[in-house]
Amino acid sequence: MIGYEDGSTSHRTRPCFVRSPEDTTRLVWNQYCSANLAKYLLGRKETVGVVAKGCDGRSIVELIKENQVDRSKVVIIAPTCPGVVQNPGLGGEGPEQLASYCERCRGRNSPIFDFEIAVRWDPEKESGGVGDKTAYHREAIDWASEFQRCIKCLACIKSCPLCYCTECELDGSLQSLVSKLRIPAELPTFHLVRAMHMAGRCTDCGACEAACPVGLPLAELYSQVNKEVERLLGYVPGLDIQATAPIELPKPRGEVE
Amino acid sequence: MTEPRILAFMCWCSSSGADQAGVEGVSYPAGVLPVRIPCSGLLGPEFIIKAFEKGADGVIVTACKPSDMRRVAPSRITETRLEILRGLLEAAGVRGKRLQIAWISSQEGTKFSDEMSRAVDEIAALGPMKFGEATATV
Amino acid sequence: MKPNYISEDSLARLVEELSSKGQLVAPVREGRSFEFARIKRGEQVCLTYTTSTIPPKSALLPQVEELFSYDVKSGEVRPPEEGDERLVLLGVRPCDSSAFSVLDRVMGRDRADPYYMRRRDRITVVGLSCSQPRETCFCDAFGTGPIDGSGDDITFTKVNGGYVVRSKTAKGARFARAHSKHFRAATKKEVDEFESRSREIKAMLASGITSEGLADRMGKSLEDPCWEEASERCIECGVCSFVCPTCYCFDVTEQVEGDSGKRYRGWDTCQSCRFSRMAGGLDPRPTKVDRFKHRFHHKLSYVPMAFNVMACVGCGRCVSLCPTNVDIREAISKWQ
Repeated sequence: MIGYEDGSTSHRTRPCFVRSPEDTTRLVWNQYCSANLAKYLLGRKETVGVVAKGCDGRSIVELIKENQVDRSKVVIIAPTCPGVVQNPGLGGEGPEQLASYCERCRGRNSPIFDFEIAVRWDPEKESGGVGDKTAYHREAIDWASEFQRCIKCLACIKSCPLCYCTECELDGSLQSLVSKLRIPAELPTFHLVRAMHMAGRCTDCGACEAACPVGLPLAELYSQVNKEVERLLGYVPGLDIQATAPIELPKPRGEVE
Repeated sequence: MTEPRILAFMCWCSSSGADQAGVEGVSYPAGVLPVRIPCSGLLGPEFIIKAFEKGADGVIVTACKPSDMRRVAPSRITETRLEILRGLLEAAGVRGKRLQIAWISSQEGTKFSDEMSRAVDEIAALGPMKFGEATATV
Repeated sequence: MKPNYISEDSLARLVEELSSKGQLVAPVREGRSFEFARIKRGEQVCLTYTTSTIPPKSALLPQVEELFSYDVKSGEVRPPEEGDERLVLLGVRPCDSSAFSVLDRVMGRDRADPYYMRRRDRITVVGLSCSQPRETCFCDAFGTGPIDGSGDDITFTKVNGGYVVRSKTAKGARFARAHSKHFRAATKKEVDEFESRSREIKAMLASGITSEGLADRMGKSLEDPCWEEASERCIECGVCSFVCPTCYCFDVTEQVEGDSGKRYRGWDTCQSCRFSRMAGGLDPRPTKVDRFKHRFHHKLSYVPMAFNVMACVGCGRCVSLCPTNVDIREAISKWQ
């Protein structure tokens, strides 16, 4: 079973893999559960259980549509998410803030589940979740500058459950689109191409932003792309397991509109 | 004003519109670098984005009109994909009009020339493309 | 050598002088965190910073560095265009400065790396003692802080109204002489304050970790099944390598346009699934656990055995920034 346990420092959790009933006492559920555990479903043959936030469950929906996850081989536990705290990075201490992507949340419980757990979070209590704490906001983003802060560590790709290509176009190993090295002129290319790869697939879980060591507002960029997808195709990733994803188009041969 | 640097991805059929323009003696703007591709449907956003990285002020995609095609899907896909890309470019601070689509069929030499001129003019009006200063770490 | 003192005001004037010559690299605010940057005149330097996201090793080993350029037609090969600029790195924490000593041994032994050595020679390291260790700091395990860094040319330690200043190397002494108008001899009161503060801060660092005997025991741990469990949550992103002050592995690439080209080297990570892949498909570290183990063994066993220095300085960046909270202290604690 894949869940979250306390991290090695305060105000953090980390993914954990539980293989015996006794070990389940390690599991926690709180506003520090920012990783998307759907990532760990990829490439598995055995049946696993996974704890899924609303957005993580929506990732699982898309992974099922893309034939990366077998629904019959995953047991989804869906507690109500309190919203996650914005990753402070190495910055100075300050009050905790709700992550900016959580403000756009499409539903704090996963749309698909085997076990749903309704949790009422009381912001008055210390462990009451983030509640209506002020969300982390940035002023208008200058993307040209933001892209130049990128260090090409690829944490965004590695933390994303929807990035499962074994031959990635953006990690530079194919030397086709961008170098593996951090060539400044290629940084906008990297991020714009990645954003197009996220079109119609990204569920705004923010794991990329949480993983980014320099705090690039990546989920914001992908949500802009997905606004276009919603406008043009009426599709929002992860909401409905029955809806045909844009990536599943075109229509079969012979069918002319 | 300096000529805008434009890359034109032309699908097979619409590029014969370019040939037709030549046959009819109709001119279309110089300074446009043509790249012929088999079908606009296979043009991934990567190529367009890379063109901007390499210094293009604008990119034109010429594609067959949906009514010309036996199967509609490729043109519709192209249209949707490029529309999404345009939205992304706008969000990232690049004027969406730098990406132009021209629907042209193979017989239309004059149309080709008109469409290309229109597209080039719209891009030229936006001035040279400048997407921030590239920086090194320290 | 007797300690000197520089007041906050004098330091501001020193910063002004160095930045107007374009010679100063120091920490600045970057959103909610800090980065080392070339300081332009009048720009705000932040010496109360905790630590920078990218370590100052980037001044010695830039993330991307041109090695040479060439022209196929003329057959010419040109060294990179580099000004012979001398830089002052101001405000380097003891862990980061001690990391320079690690890099010096790796890059300087036998066939020294000329690109690294040239930059190293041109840089004066002005160390800054810590005053507020973080939860993730463990320099006490490696003797790399919190007051003195082994790569310091000159060390500033905060006291009331300014800093007590101690030159550590000949280069540091030259720096103090060249800017002597900003320094004066420290008073006994200031030296006493320096000593009592140093004791206080050292006492704050009680990580409970030691590196004694670690290299040997870590080296014997290769077959232990504990690594499978430890590596399970790792997503192989490589953030650890990129923010690590002692990591130095690089890849080489070329950018060719027509008949001319440039060869670059740049940071790479052993955590990447392609890192050890070779022609023909052979890969000595094909699985995640192989690569995960390698990181710890390299830093805590192979480098110590080859270069007689631990390749971890306890800065804690990897602990804070790893997306899945892989914690090197757990590996060290287990094998110490």
